[in-house]
Amino acid sequence: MMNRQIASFIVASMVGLMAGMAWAVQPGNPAPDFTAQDTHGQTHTLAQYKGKYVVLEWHNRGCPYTHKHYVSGNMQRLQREWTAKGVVWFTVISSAPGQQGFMTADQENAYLQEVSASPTAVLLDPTGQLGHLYGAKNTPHMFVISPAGVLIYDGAIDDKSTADPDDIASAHNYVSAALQEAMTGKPVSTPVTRPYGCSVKYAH
Amino acid sequence: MAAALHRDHGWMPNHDFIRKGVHVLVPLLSLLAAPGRVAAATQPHGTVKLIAEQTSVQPARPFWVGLYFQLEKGWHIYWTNPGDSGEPPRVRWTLPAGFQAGPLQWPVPRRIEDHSLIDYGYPNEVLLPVEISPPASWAGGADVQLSATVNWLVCREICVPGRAALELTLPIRRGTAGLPSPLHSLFAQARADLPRPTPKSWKVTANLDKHRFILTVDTGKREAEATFFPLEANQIENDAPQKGMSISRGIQLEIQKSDQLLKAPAYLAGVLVFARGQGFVIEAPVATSN
Repeated sequence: MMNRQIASFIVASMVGLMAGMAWAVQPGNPAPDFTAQDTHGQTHTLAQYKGKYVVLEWHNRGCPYTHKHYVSGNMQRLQREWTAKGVVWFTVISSAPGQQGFMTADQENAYLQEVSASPTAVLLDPTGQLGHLYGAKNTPHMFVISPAGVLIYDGAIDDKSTADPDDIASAHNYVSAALQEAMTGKPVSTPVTRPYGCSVKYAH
Repeated sequence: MAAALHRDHGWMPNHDFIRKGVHVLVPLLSLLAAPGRVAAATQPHGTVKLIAEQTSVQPARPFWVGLYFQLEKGWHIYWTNPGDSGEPPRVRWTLPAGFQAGPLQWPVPRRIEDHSLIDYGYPNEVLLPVEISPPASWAGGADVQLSATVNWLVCREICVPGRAALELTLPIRRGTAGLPSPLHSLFAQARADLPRPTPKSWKVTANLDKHRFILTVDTGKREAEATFFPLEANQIENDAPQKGMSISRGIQLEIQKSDQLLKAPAYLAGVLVFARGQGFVIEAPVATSN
């Protein structure tokens, strides 16, 4: 007969096992589904965007590397260009309350207007759940997901790992390259790079 | 090729630098003689100075200068491989015609915890030495003027980029070795902290299975503890603890492989630092097993 203790031990073991078995978030593997709220109180899941390309952009407005891509208008340009082509672009904020980059919905909406940013939505992730699910390390850390729900890019925004906006003009943008290649039926030539930037300011 | 890898990264310790480190003991009084001008820039959370090991230079003799970072308590800058975040300091030199600057030399770094990530860097202070070589035919003339534009990132919880244009002028003294500058002891310390080449008698190998590298370092004697710092990004999970196991002829380290590592590398290259703080440059050929 199975008593309660053994039953809960088995459940705990199964949870542990499933966590251990979970595939690494790695290009070529299905991107893990998530549920998150945006700054207008709307809920988004990854599954509901099947059939579309999805970009995830980890964000912290106080980080010099994020700043580089916003003060130059580079990130806003990418958001406009790719959302116009039907891509779903989520900016994700995983800063914990009290940490650099943490934003309330109202603060973030005001910021979007101030810097003329136009992602599809900004997902608020103050618990860091979405960030940890994807293993987001830096701001900006970029992910690209195919219409089939497969992760096709994980890494840096471009190949100039500096905080200097002057480096953008000569940089090779990995996110645009991945989207261009995938949309023309080619394999993504650089599916993984080392992301660069600040650490994501998760709760300690 | 492994050797080319090192050259490309410009990070291999310069052995000449280590060898020359023996001659730095001098009477204290001479330290006051004719110091080279020192340029410093104070930026948020720290100061960077361009300093020279000696107070003067000789025609056609290479000499050492360095970027000396002094940071506020708890702030850090980065190693050549910064780990999970950040970036290493970069320098652009403007030198007299025909002069060459060698690569920045990187003393052994520390593991620095940063929001559950691990960075590789230097808390509080560090000197990054650089060798300057005059042209062979240079007969000397006016003073030598060195200019360095330095970019760096300094972090503690948050990160702040720094940028400075530094200048240093050194007089030329023919036929006499330059006197140690007042800051020469920093060069001696930096030399002691540079990783050394692996002794020929050592055997270093790595095995990669689905989840981890087993790095085996045969030094000939039991080693208590060691930490591996990878040269390349995306090979190991920086934030995973490294499990060390003492073996009779050295040490074995179990190091979690990076999720981002899509194919086995030919070499696991980096710096191995033992408990007593001494670092060695290692390059372990990687065998794979499933």
